[in-house]
Amino acid sequence: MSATALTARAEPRVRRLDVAALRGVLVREVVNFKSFWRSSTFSSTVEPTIYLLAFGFGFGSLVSTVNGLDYVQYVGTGTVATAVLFSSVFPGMFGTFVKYQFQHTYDAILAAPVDTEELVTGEALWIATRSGF
Amino acid sequence: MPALAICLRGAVKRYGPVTAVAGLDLDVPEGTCVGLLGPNGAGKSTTMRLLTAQAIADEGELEVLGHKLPDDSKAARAVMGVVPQLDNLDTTLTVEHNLLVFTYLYRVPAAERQAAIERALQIANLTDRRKSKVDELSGGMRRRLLIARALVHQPRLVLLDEPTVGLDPQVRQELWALIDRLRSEGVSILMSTHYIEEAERLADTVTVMSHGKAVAVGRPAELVAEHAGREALEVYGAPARLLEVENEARERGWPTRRTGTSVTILRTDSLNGELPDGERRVATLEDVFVLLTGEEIA
Repeated sequence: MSATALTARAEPRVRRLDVAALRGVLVREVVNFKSFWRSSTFSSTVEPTIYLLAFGFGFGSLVSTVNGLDYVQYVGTGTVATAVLFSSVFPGMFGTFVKYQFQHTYDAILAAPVDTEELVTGEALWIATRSGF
Repeated sequence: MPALAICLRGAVKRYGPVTAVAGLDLDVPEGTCVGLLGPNGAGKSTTMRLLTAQAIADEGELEVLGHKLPDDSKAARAVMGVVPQLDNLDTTLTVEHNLLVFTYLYRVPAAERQAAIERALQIANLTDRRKSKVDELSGGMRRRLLIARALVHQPRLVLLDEPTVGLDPQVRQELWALIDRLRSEGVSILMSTHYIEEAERLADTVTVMSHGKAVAVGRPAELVAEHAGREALEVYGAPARLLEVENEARERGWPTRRTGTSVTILRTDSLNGELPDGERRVATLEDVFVLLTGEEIA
């Protein structure tokens, strides 16, 4: 009995939620990000700036306080929050859909030793990390 | 009896009311190239997806390189390479980066990573295009890269899903040479195709699929001899004349097939009676294919 158990263990077992698999998914995202970080960083800085100008100077000239808070603080916090939200929601909604439906990227990844839960975890980790910065 | 790289027994895969794979038996002995031949919709691509466990079989036993599917599919995927039918390269990345990503996905040890990329570049003959983005490559280059990408981890088994679809004859020949080289290095290959010539040239054995089942298995030459005989006769003419020939042949019990512009009478070497005028030719695997998978388009 023990002999068979030993031979069975001789081949390295692949586990669930493998670090190697997660790393593969993340490396793909990082390498891709290096090719488009300029445009995406540009849009995710310009958009909140325009918002801030419009609601800060424009609408802000009509309002001074909200619920006892300074309006500038109110608008500033909100803009930062929406910027973070959008920079994760869009890759999460459209990015993943395009990779799934049109580019068939996920087909390629799942043909490699990566399971669905590792792919999902890896993608979620990446999107969260990216929008956090 | 050599070990089997792929062994399917009674594999069934249903998509709602459609049964894509209906009790398929398939053997790929190690170190050989097996051609999976069948018309569109015969279940070739679904079979490929079953082998990577991207589709889970409803019934049957599946084994890849000694790993039972779907439970041990991850271990099986780690030692096999997959060339998909649809190009799914990362188009905004360079050739080199595409390969780099796959060395990570296929867990090539860090020390061997660079060597693996160089080797794949050489296989794809893209060493001097390494810095080019995939967008800038021609269709043939992209396909070569797609194949090389499946080989970064030196797999023991390669699945090729219609590897030469939509490519010109020169590129196709180039890919054939590449596949032949792989086989000579001892890699087991399962290649689906509906190009007869491709199967005839590359495959050690051919499995002809129709409606999700294997309808014939054997060496290409044996299949031709068994199902289509040695010689065939092509009778050309106007559509009315073709119909006449076909009816006449049916009355005499001669096997025929339509070839678009002509009617082919098969097994002419073993038929009695006077044959109509036409061009004699050697029977081919295409005759077998049409005989076995039917003339009607589903």
